[in-house]
Order: sequence, then C-alpha cells, then structure tokens
Amino acid sequence: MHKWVMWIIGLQFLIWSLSGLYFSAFDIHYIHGETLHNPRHAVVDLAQVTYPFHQLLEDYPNASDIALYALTDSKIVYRMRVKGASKARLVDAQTGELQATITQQQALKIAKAAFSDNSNHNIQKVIYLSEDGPSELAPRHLPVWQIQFDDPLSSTLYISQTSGEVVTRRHDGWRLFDLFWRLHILDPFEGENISNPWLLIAALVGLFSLFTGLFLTWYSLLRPAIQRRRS
Amino acid sequence: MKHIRLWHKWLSLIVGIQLLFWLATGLFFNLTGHQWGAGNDYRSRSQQVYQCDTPPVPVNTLKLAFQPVTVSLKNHLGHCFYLAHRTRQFHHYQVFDGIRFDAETGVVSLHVDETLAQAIAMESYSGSGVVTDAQLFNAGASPDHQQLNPLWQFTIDDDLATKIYVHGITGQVTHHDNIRSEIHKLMLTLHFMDYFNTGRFNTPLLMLFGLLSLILSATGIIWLINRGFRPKRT
Repeated sequence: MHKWVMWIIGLQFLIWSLSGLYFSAFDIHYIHGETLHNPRHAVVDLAQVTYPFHQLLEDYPNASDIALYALTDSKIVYRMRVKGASKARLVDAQTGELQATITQQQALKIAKAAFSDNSNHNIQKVIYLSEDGPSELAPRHLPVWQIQFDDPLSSTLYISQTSGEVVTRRHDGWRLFDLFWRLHILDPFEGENISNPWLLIAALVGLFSLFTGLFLTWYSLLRPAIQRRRS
Repeated sequence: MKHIRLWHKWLSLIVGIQLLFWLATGLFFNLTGHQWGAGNDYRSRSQQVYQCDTPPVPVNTLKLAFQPVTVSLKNHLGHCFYLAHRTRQFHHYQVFDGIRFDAETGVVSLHVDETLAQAIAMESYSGSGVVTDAQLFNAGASPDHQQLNPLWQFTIDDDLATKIYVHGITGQVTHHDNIRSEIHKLMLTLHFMDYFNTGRFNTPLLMLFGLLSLILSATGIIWLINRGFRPKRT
C-alpha cells in the first residue's frame, strides 16, 4: 500500500523536502533583498529644510503619512498621501512646490546610491513599467523604474516613479525561493493561495502514505527488535 | 539497492514523527488560510489626517547628533511627534536606530507612556472588550522573541482573549494576538521545528531534518523505481 500511494505522491515529497531545505538554509532577510540596500545612502541636511512641516499641514490639510527624506544628496522632499488619491505625492522641502514624477536620470542616481554593492557592479538595464510588471513586483507599486545590476545574482531595484523610494529589491536567490514556494504550496501560477484544493489533496494523500510508512517502520524495524529482546 | 533500502528504513525511524508534524500542520494551514491565525479579528486600520494640538516645530530646530535618512511625523490622538531615523530599517522589531521628539516642543521624548500607548491600542481595536491588564516588556523580554525594543502589551477581555502590542518608542501598533493566533503560532513552531523559541526557521535542527527527509524521499523514489522495473517473484 505504501508503495502504491508513493507512486502518486513520492515526487511531491521530494519537492517538499528540497524546497523546505532551501527555505531553512537561507536567511529570509537575505532572500528579501535587505542586504542589497545601503541603509544610509541619502541623508538629510535638516538646515536645508526651509519649508517646514507645519506649513505643509496648512497647505495640505488632508495629508497623512508624511515623511521627509532625500532623493539624492541635494534634493530633499516630503512624501505625503492625500485622502482620495491612490498614489503618494512629493513636495520640495525647500520651496514647497509639488514635484513632478521621478525621471529616469533621478531613478538611476537613486538606485546607484541605494545599492549596497555599487562599487563593484554597474547598472545593466533600466526599464519603465507603468501598468504591467513582472510577477516579482506587487502591482500596487506601479508605476516604477526597474533597474537591474550586472552582479552574479541579477540584483534588481524597483524605484517608485511617484515617491522615488526603493519599493522592492529582488535577486536570483529570491526568484528561486519564489519558485520553490509555489511548488511547496502547490500554487504554481499565483504563489499566494495556501488554501488551494491541490495542497489539500496532497496533504491528505501524504498523511495516508506516511501512516502506511510508519506502520512498515514499526513492522520491519521495531517489532523484530522488540521480539528479539523478549526472546 | 540493499543500502538504499536500509537508509530509507532507518531514516523513516528518525524523521517519521517530524514528517507527521509537517504534514498535519501543513494541512492545518491549508484548511485555515492566511487570515484565520493572523490575530486581526478585531483590528481596525484607518488612514488618519494630522491633528496636532499645536503646530509642529520646524525640523531644522531639532538637536540631532547625526544627519537622518528620514524624519516622519506621527500623530496619535492629537499628540504629534517626530521620528528621526539614522538608518533605514525594514522591521519594527529591529533595535530602533533613531530618536523620537515631541513635535510640539522639539524635546527628545524617549518612550511612549502607558496612557498614550493604551489610547493607541484601543484606537486599533474594533471589538467590545476593555483593557484588563497593561504590561511594559523591556527589549528582548516580550513574548515576541524577535522584538528588540520596549513593547507594551494590553490584555482585552473579549471572546478571543485579544492582546494588543504597541512599540514602546515609535507608538506603532506592532500586532494583535488572540486565541487563534496562539494556535497558529503553535502550528508554526511544529512546522519550523522552533522548539527552542528562537522565532526563526533558519535553525540547524530544521536544516538537518530537511536534509534527512530529502535523503529519505530520494531513497524512497530510487527504491520505488527499482522495484517497479523488477519482475515479480513467483
């Protein structure tokens, strides 16, 4: 019985084991690309901020989630979200003027500064994505600049066109993790739904095969050992 | 082939019970889904506009020993404060690398006090229970083993035994817990073999068992294929 059930589920056991081993072997923070990010790549000279927070609040009373940061070493902005608008807006922290969206040149500067290994690797490719993006990017971040580096892991930074923030970091370690995850939960297309029926069937069949296997373990290893001890 | 069979039998003895845990907890996750064990049954989130009691002071008057990477304005029930970050951080549980200022006076305000923390907690709560206990955990001492900052815990007397956690420095509601999320955590402990409560799944124990189960699966498949091609004994 164990043998026949394993003809059905054996390969999935191998996939579960291999993918599980990969998940446990790599730190999730590395997988999420956190090590790609330079944690202090653009600092704010507060003396340059001549358009204060309270003025911003007066001019935009419906603003929320306000943060002050530098796009590049010379460009300081406020990012804010306005009620009713789907995307963030940028305001110049010196003049109070609303900023246009991030240009390719600005995105390249931001990415080069934000990439932790920028002294050893260069930018290989830049693509503007407005409505459709790869599966490794959540659609809510669009539109973005996709910036790929020439390092061995094909590291890619996604810069938001509306806020200039690095919204996603990806590399081949993540891409392999994602592939394994889809196979692990048996959702190869979306990679999100752990409540899918294929996983349910595989888990039930797997449990049945496991119980038959445990019976065989007891019958072929433990029972003879117990009998030898008694005699 | 004799060795393949021996490996498979003996590995099944070592890995078998953990395999049972993996499959049973995997089935549990499949049946309950992402939301059931998230602890957010009574969590409400809202995008708030700012309502500071007095206008925030200009940031160029703040006394900072470093140039920050970001300064954000936070608002909790009319009280506004600045968070100046020295480095960019990804997770609330990392040691907070920055300073908190009272935005209305520009004075450094190191921690969120109990009154404000409780108000923040209840603002995130949509149930009908009330707070029965409040506790401040020092960095590293909270039930959330990953949390490296002070953490407020508020216990609520509702049907799900909700607990609300508020970051002791930033005032962020880090998470809600309840009976369901506790069960979910237990299942995760069994699935990740986190028997020593590290809060991580990159442990040597899990890697070892992952490797052993991979060999168990591989020897099983080899044995299966070999038996499949051998003629039946008469």
